[in-house]
Amino acid sequence: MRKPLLETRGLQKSYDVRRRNGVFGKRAKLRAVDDVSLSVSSGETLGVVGESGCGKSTVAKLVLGLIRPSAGEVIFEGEPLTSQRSEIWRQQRRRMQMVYQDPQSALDPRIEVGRQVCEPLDILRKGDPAERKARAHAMFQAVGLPRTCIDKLPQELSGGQRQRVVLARALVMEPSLLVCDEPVSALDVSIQAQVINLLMDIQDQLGIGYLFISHDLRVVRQIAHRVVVMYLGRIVEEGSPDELFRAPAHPYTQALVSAVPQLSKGLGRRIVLQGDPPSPIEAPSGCAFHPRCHVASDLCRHARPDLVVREDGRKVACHFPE
Amino acid sequence: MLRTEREAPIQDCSTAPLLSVRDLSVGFSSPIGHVQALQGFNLDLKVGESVGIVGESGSGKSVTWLGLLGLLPSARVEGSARMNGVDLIGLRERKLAAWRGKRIAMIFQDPTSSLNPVHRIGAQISEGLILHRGLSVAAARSEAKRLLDRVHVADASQKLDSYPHELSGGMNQRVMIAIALASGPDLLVADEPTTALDVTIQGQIIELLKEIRRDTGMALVTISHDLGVIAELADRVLVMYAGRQVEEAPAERILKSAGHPYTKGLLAAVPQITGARQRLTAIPGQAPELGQMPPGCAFAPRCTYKEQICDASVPMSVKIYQHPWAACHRATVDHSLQNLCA
Repeated sequence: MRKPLLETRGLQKSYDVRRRNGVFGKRAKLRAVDDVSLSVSSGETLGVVGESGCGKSTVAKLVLGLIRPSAGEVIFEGEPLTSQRSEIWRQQRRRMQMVYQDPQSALDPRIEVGRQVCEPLDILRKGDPAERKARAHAMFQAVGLPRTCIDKLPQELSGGQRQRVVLARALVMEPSLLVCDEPVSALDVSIQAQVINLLMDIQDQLGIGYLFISHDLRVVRQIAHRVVVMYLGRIVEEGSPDELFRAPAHPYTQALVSAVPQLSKGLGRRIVLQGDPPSPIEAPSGCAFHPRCHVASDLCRHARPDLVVREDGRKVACHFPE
Repeated sequence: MLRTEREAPIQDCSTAPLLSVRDLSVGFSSPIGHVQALQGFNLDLKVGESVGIVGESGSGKSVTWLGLLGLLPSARVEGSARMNGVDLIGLRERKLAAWRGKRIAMIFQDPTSSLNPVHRIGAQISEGLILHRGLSVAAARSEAKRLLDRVHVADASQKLDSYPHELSGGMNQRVMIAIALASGPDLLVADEPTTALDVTIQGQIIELLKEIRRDTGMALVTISHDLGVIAELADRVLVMYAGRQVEEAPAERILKSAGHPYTKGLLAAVPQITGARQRLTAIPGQAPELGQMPPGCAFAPRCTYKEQICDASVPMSVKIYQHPWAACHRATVDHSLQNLCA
């Protein structure tokens, strides 16, 4: 097997919080991310799915080194990710770029988009100004933006075009890893398809690895080579998208898949989960999913299942997988 | 699927429509001049019927209902919308307020910002009960509890004293639905009711809306950009593009064989959770800006079936094979559109 581009080992992030009653509340630990190990190879897309509060965006921040893990480590291009603000970290960060959900707030409203794409090159003083401009123009072409857009301000562009600008700005640094946190969630359906296709084309051409975070299972299935399902800070299932969504093994994945609105009626019954995901401050004992699980038993209340690899390569953290 | 295989309608739909909208238009004045956000909207909504309205941002799907209910004070709303012999358009605000919330209720995308953050849930549900049904404060409170039970909020009596920020998004959307149900409306307009919610919570709300419709027999209009949500909730689908209706069809048929090229494009652009994975067919380009509508069919610049006539005039709604209607020139020019799109 090739050496992975990105690897995380036993990644953990907890925050000290106070339970209710403001500053007088009892101290508690909020485990946002708990024992997450994953890997992304060059040219591969790892999809991360889960609901709000499952820790998927925290994983993104940890991978980028924007926050420090409480335990575990991130290994990028064979080297451990070093502490922030160090020169090595700055070198590493150039090779990992990110794209967020809302392109409007990711761009400076008062600077022409062409200059914003050029800015990372200006900061690093790569080449002379003419070269930088030429590279920015080439990037515009690569993401399918017309040249006329270069001198426009973000608000003069549509949502889809703005997301293309964000993508161009990330790609101009020639990253080897792109962390995408809900990159198409704010876009209309027809535009969403354009951006998904564009992301896949760019990966084919440049061999970039994607860490692709989304709550939309359909989008993740379309773009990912491997999928990780998270619940309350932990990975509950991992596998290939076709197999994982066709025959989910973990009861939570089953409920997630069955909850996706279907275009054709009557495709299987929906497993309606009761209640909301519990708070990560008061995570349930044993398997965190047991209060909402339809196959939970006494064992699940007491013992936390480990993530084990099955014969077919699927990883599942459940006492009674299907 | 044959018509006979569909779920039986809840009530007899052969009677006069509950709501009859004719030639509704909504315009705004903007720095670039007068822009038309909605044009020529027609709809006959039967008692107990469930209609889905699908379209992208700026297609006019929300503006239709906001305009109809007088919730756009700065807009110019024209046309008619008759309910029980009363035209809601041009009705004075005080009279309209009696309709709004009582006969027609509306819920929105973001429940947390629709609720008042400084009032308790119980007081917010009671408000409508006292206003529209004339209940006493005590009676309104017990009715509010019953409504919360109705939308399956656990510990209803305790939740009455909660503030919106203490509840989750899904729970707040249930509260919004309880408020909407308070006056026993004939029509519930749900504007992107599940968009801001997580997948499993979205499933819960869809099931709840289905159940309430089944039990109360109220009509439901679901506005969404998600064809999947529409397919689950609606019997009949209206597709909107750039401020006009472009197609109407029974839900199960529009999904199998769309008549209008835009609908066809929308369906192809959605990734699926089952079946073989293939490259998405994106619709090229983007929807036109409100002030810069193309002269003919608004979809023509993005349409793969475009012909000369498409730039010449706005297509009329015509009946096409197997569909109630679609607004497309190719349907009139070329009778084989059904083959084209099959």
